[in-house]
Amino acid sequence: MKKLITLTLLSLCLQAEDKNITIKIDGMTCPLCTMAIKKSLKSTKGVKKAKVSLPKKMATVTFDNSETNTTILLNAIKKAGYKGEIENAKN
Amino acid sequence: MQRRDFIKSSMALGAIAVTPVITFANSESKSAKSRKFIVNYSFDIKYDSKEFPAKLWNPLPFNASYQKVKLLHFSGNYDSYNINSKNDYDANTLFAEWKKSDKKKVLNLQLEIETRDRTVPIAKIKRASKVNLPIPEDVKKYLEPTAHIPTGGIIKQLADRIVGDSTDRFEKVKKVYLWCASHTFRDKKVIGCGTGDVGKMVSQKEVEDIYKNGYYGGKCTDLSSLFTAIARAAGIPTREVFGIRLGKSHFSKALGKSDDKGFATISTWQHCRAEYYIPGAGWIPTDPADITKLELVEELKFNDAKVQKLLEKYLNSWEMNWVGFNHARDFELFPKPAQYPINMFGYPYAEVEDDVLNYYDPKTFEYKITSQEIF
Repeated sequence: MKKLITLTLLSLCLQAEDKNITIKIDGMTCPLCTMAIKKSLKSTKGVKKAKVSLPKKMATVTFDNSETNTTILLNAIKKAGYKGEIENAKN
Repeated sequence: MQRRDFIKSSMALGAIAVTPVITFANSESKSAKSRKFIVNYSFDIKYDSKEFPAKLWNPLPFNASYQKVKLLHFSGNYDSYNINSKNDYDANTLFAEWKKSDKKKVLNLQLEIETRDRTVPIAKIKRASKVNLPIPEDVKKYLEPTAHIPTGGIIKQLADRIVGDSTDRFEKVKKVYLWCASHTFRDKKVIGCGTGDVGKMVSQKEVEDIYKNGYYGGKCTDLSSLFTAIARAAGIPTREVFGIRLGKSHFSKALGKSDDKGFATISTWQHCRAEYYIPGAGWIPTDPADITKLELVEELKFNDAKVQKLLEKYLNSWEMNWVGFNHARDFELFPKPAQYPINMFGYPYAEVEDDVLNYYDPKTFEYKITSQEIF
């Protein structure tokens, strides 16, 4: 029982670290650009989910705040060849 | 505009695993000796989860005097499909959709294609160019810029520098063609046909520097797009034509090959060419990118006789060991995908929800295209 409570608390604690962020992306011109950005974001430690939209020129990223941060995410986008700018961030 | 209507001879709508057979309307007159190819596409769409939905848009050839689809047949386990040309460029599209499931996503497509080498005689072009007729309304869109084909700024300055004081349309085209062919090279590091992003290719600021020293690497979409952008900026309606090589070239193995029975696996043989329009002569075929491919593959220099021979030939002709799909750039497919606009439609395009499958990599996508020439 103790174990279960500990695990539940740990899980709640970990969830509290999850952060959602919207990033405006400059330079995407074709659908394959979304693939390159998504691949770069998903290979970043701490990124749990990444969606990239060409029509909206946006990426939405769910990440573990204790493992990565917005600077690292923007660098991942830069590494793929594009420029990102934080639109908004939510816990 | 050339007629590209489909005539459906048989179609079983709404069924799963249907096997529609479609023939295409004939349009223009015949001239050169014909070649026939049987082209087979096989799709088995892959994704990194067990259960997934999928949507596939595959480009289909248009009909013209120099290429005809004699038969189109497809089958598969898709849940729905359509054939349409509902987009800004009338690009013929086979669309198929699979609902979310753990089943394989399979589609097989067979095309029988007849082609004839295409040439517009120089005398005809010169005559038409001298008359200087107005550009038809439906052709004027090929003077406009797109996201990847800028026609203002440095490209306009470059076009003006290249054409100089020429006012004759064909003279302008010749100057642009010659400049492009002699200031570009095929860069084998570029993936697929390249993105054809002219704004990124021409990054210098000084027009004189570009005119004299510009030397741009890329593949066929890049080089055809550069030609297209400069020619449009010079006032010549011009467009890329996306398609695929089907077999052996009689000019050089660099421009297409097959085994001794006429068979070739062509999954990565997509090739972009170009056309320019001179009122009175119509759309004229050209292929500045293949000049650079010949140079690279046969290790030739620009001034070598064989390169110069192709340069002369490809100002106004195409060898038709190739079939064209469309001339669409920066547009929306139908039905509208999650990601749009698409840059070009020379490759199969597929999405799993909002994930784009890598069409440059047939082995992960997964698709295979083969061609068998019928002698």
